[in-house]
Amino acid sequence: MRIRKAISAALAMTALMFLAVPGNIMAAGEEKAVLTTAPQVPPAIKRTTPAKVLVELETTEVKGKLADGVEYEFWTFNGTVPGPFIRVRAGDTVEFNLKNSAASKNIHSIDLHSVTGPGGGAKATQTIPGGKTGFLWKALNPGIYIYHCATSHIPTHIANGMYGLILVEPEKGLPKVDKEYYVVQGDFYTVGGTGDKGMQAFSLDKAKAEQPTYVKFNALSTPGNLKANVGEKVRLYVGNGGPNLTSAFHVIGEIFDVVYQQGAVGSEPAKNVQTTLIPPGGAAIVEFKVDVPGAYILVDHAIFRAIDKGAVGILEVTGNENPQVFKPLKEGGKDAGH
Amino acid sequence: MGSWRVSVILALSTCLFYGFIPLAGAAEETDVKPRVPSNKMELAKGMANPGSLDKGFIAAGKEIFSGKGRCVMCHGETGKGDSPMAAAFNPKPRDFTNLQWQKVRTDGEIFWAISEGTEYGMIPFGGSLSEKERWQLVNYIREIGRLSNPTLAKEQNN
Ligand code: HEC
Ligand SMILES: [Cu+2]
Repeated sequence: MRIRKAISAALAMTALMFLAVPGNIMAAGEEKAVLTTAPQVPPAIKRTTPAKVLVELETTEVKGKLADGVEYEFWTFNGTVPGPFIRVRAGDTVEFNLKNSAASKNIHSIDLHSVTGPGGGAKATQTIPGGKTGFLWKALNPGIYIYHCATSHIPTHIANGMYGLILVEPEKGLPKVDKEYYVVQGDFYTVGGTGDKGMQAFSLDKAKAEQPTYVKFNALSTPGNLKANVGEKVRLYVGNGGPNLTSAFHVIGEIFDVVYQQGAVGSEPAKNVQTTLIPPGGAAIVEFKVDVPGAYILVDHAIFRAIDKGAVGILEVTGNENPQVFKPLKEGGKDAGH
Repeated sequence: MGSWRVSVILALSTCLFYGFIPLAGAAEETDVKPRVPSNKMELAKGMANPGSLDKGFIAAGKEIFSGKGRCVMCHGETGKGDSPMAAAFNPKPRDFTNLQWQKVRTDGEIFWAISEGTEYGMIPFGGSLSEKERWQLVNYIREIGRLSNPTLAKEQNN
């Protein structure tokens, strides 16, 4: 008797928990997607069942810093370039809403490469300033996908910074790592030359000629370096908004242990890669363990773009030296072998 | 050569169809060939204009044209398709003062283009502007035609 009572009490408790803890009723209800600004990535999804996920972005046109002393009017999702990182799970149904700030001069929209349907949502989301549009879609294919504005003149909207990444996690999730970061490359075209100070206007001519004045990672996002500790596994979600250049993505002083080339989650990943190609409108996932402290520089290894046009980022690794893996030799190797 | 180009363009627009990708070199400025897909033409032409020559519709359309619809960004203040933004487009945003265009297009086709966009760069506004607002725009665009073409005004005001 007492055992039966205990069991039914336990059952009642479990039922209550299901009702009370939001994490347990997601399958039945809705949840709001956690959005992050680059270089941050939302936490891995813990759910094991599909949910209805709400995502809302707002398009804005904002002045910001393109380089030291150089201002530019960026067109953005949520005020940053790249726009927020969106994370959902394969099988989820996403209710996507797009607001266009009343202060915008232009119509904007979104084409998410993760969407199966006309224009990736572009036709349903052409949004006037002050307006709001939306559509519902089901995340059928896992992977890391670019999203971008698709309002004509489309190349101009992309060149001004309207892109970001959405991750559709596979049902079983991705392997656990210690740090995840979000990086998107973009090429920019200003009327003035590289380094010309002041407010710079967009140059349609340079964009058509595919001659950027700047190439940037996370052009208008949270400043600061990426950080990791010696011994940690780092995963980078790297996208390329373009509009024109294909990135030869490389981290100086590291080898990618694993690369999901072209963001093809579910395919056998490549191993031991030095430089990976990321086309405009594409993305990749790279993973590596950091073994030695120091500053590791992210570059587009089409190297003029890095050294002369700005395509650099820094991963700062702190921790104990690891002389077995790397050790500088003083005075031409006198202490070698000690 | 001509037909080769046309078939490439057709293939491209079917494969990549966004509804509004401007395809460079696809058409000349004066090209007035239909923008409504042939299987929808009957539907488009059959739509009745609820505010033809109505002053209220025209005034409201003008307001939306330079206000919340942002049509001016591409078609320009005067509707001639000569805004700074127009430089990016090929073909250019439509010049609404063009007599030939005003004559060949039915009201329903103009309503269709505003609602669904065209494959040469006109944005579809069906999700953003109400049906009434789109008809107000049709009638303002007609008014632009009449103001710049007195013969047209005579014909239509009859
Ligand atoms: C971003 C630029 C842009 C904006 C904003 C824009 N248009 Fe257009 N529009 C175009 C372009 C480009 C064309 C030419 C496309 C073509 O020839 O098919 C066009 C064509 C048209 C046409 C002619 C289609 C035909 O049948 O030949 C109409 C009507 C039109 N636009 C109305 C509007 C109205 C009304 C608005 C505002 C609510 C507007 N446009 C806003 C770029 C724009
Ligand atoms: Cu845009």
